[in-house]
Amino acid sequence: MNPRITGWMLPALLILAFVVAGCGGAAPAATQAPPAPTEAPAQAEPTAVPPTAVPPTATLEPTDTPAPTDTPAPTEEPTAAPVVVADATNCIACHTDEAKLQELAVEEPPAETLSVGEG
Amino acid sequence: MPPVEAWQKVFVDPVKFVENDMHAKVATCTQCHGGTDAAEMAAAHEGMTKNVTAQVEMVTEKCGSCHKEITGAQVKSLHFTAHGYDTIINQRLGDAPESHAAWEEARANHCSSCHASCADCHVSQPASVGGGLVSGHQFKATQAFTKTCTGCHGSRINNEYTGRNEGVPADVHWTQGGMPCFKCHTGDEMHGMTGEKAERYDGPPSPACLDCHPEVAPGKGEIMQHNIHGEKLACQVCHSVENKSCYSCHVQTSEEGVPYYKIEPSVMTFKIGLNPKKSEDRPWNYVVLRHVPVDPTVFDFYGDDVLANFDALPTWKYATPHNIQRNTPQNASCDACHGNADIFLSEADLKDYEIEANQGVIPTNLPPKTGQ
Repeated sequence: MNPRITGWMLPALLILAFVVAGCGGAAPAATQAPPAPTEAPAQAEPTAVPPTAVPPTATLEPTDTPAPTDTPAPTEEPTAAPVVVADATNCIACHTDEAKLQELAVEEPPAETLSVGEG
Repeated sequence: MPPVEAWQKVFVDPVKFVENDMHAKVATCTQCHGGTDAAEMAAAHEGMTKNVTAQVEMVTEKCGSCHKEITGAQVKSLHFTAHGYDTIINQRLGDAPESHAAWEEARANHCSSCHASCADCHVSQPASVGGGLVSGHQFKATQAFTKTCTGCHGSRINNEYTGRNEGVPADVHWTQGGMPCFKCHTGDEMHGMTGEKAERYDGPPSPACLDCHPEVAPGKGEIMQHNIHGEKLACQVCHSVENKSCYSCHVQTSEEGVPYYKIEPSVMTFKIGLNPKKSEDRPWNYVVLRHVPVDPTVFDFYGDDVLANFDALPTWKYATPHNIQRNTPQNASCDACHGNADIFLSEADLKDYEIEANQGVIPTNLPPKTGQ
């Protein structure tokens, strides 16, 4: 064998041997891994929750957005525009609508119809 | 008063109220009125209260959260409680518990609707004249007196003040001054902030003529008649004219439980009598008297002899007619009043049932004629 080749091959082989030995050295550690899987089930439940929580928010958006386009409210309630309080929308929409009130409002009968003389 | 259409009574003005009224910013509809914000009408109105301010608790909680001083007095005022009725009627009731029970029932049926809440003056018109919003639910510190004051005080006060009694001139404060009610009757007075009163004429006059006319107080001016008479006569004795007296307002309910009354036709009178409220605050010997619509049987529907102590008070009561004039028939000359039996209350003016009750207000001797 050419002594020049063996001259550089030996150190290279030695280095390779160290590298291989290093990888092989990590292998025992993998045998310590079993405890970790025993913790894994406990973590599995919480990690399972987010997936179920995510879909609703994902589905709300598409079902929410069509709604405004479905309802004709914006075109029939111009007088309700200055709504200032969220939970009075319907009250104000109706009670500011002159036409609707003229249609729906009825006069209450006077209570003292039997009275005679000046009050 | 001009009629308010049914729809107007519930119309909420989107600009006056929703956009621009502070009260629309501090609470929602349902927070004050109850009910719900349901889209369907019946469901929305379920459990709602029209006039929230008719209840002391709500006045204190809602109005009082910003207007504490006013509401604290208001809920004890004559306007709110109408307890002037109690003060007067209680004196005529007998000692029997049945009398008091009968009065309580009658009061609830016929008198409780006369009380005035915050909203009756500031948001709507009184229930006694049909109720309803008058300015799109806008809260007004002062509304037109035709929408508020005279809604309740119409047949006597308004007709006198604005000259609607045939042949009787309107009050000079109206014809010449154009003064609305609240020019004299201040907010403090209306809200009971000038002190608690047992009835309308409890305490010092409020308002008093001298508040605006201090120069006519006896000894303070050059008008001889004021200096001579000022401490003995109420101003109205010389400066008011014929006013309305009422008789026998009988109250009852129909078979369906609907309250109603029957009252005798009113009579225009001008009667001077002895002062039944004479005190340091009201020191005059003579005042104008007006007949009130009571007789011993007005509550007979509710019980026997309810007003067993009928004679405790005169039926011709202290009055301050709202038809003030500078020149009146009785101040045309000295003898237009002195010795003029027609204008002084006498037994001839009384019905049999009220002779005893009025002994304290009938002058025993008329002021003698002077020849002038």
